[in-house]
Amino acid sequence: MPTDIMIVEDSPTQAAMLEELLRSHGYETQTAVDGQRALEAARRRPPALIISDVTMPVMNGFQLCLAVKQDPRLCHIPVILLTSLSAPRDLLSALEAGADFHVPKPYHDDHLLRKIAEALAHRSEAGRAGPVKVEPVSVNGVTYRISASREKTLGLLLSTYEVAVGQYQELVQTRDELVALNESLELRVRERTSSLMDEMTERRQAEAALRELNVSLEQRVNDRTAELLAANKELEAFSYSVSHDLRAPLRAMDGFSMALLEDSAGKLDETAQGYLRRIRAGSQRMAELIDDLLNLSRITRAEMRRERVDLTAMAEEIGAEFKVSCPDRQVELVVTRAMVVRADGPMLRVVLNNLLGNAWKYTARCAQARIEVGAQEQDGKRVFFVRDNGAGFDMAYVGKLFGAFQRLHSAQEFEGTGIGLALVQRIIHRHGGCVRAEGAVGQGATFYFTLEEKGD
Amino acid sequence: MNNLKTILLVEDNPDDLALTLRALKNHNVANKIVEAHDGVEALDYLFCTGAHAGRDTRQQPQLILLDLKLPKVDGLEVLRRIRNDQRTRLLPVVILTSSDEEKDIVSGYALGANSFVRKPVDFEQFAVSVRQLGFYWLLINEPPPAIGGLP
Repeated sequence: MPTDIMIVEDSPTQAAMLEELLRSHGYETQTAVDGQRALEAARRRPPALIISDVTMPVMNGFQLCLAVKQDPRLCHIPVILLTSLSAPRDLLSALEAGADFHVPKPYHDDHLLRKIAEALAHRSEAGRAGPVKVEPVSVNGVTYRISASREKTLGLLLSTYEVAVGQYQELVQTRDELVALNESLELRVRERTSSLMDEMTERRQAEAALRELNVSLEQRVNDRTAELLAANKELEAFSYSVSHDLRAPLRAMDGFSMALLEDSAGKLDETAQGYLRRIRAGSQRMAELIDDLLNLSRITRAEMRRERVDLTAMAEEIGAEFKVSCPDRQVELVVTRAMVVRADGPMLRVVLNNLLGNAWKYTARCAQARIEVGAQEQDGKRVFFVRDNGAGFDMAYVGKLFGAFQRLHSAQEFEGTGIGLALVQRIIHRHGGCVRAEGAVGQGATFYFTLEEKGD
Repeated sequence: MNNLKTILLVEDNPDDLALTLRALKNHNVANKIVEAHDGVEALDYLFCTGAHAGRDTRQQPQLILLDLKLPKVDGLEVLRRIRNDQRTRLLPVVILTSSDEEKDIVSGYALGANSFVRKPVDFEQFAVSVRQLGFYWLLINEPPPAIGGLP
């Protein structure tokens, strides 16, 4: 016949777990939800062992235990109290109540089963103990009347000790785990710190290198700026000297040739006079070249001031000036309306003056000269153009067109120094634009240019 | 001849000097022309020092034709001293130079030049310029009192 164990537990979940554990180990169980009912049930059908919770309604575990031990028919039944026993008072209360064992909650299944087996083995002793001497014990000013036998007291103390040892071992294990965890953490911190230090060192080195590079770059920029300033100054001095010193000898050549022509014309034959005229023409042409060179260098150095420029009005003004200076010419000038840009006004006037001047010059032999100034859209940009139906040029030489002092026509054919288009190109480049030309011999030429139009 | 208005021609280049003199003569400018070949000579003449010590400082030229690029003391410095001296500060000064550098023109006017004329290479134009200068400054322009036509 299986051993019958009474479970006294108010929590249905804990009761069910305990029932499950005991039945799986071959015990039979009966369950009561408080001390009162347990006592009644025990009197009806005495179990081999009572396992009781402490905190319960109606009658708690201590009261139940006391009642069992005072009942002569039940006093031989061993009682195991499931307590926390965290305070000495609980232990004393258990002793006072005459509990045989106590098992701390939460319990290990094995521990509980071992205690059950032990309690069942000593069952006979519990019954034989008979009446014992009551010992009053005072703790914290409260007197407990301990009637338990020495064995019971010892057993309870041992259980407490066991619990304490178990808890101590758990604590030791936890501490060891903590130490190990701490060590591994420390190791990781050390590793991370060292890698951070490496990173910081690397970063510091990179920063230092960058600073050094910056300083050297700045130095190079300063040096280069100084060099450029010096070069610019030199260029200015050179231009100044050119404008001053190169012209004086030319003036002497021209002036004294003229003096000879005036004073000694009678002593010179026609050939000699022709030579003198050639000397004068040569010096004057050289003076023009010098002036053009100076203009080119000035345009390169001059400060740009962007403003609103009415290209239409400017082109018409320049056209009108040409018409006044050559009243004999019949030239049809067509200018697109409302071409307004932001650019340096005086510089743009040089551009239009040169492009229109060329168009004017190279249509001199046209019966029906036509010059067109306009704008067209190309790749989202405005492209301006000056088109004529004059002498044109051979596209094979288009590369030479914008070089300073490059000419595609002889001076006899069309006069000029060859500086105009070089000037145009420099000005357009300074505006961030491009200039190009299209043409064919005898079929006119078209010059296209763009301007980087900043702002509005 | 003392009463005739004098022109001070400050020019270091002998060719330019000869051509200017020739142009003045050709256009019948009969005024006395005093030549100075550098800035120091010009200042000596105006302030009656050095080679011109003892000259009467009240006798000042009616017109100064001043080149800019001069040995020793340059033209702009000569102009500065002329304008800073009570005896000469009202004298008409025409800068006659090869340069057409903007900074020279600006400095010239800033220091109180009355005119700035660039010498053309073409002698005919040069002669016309000189004639017009003489015509304007010696005949048309009314000089400030206390210079030129004083007894």
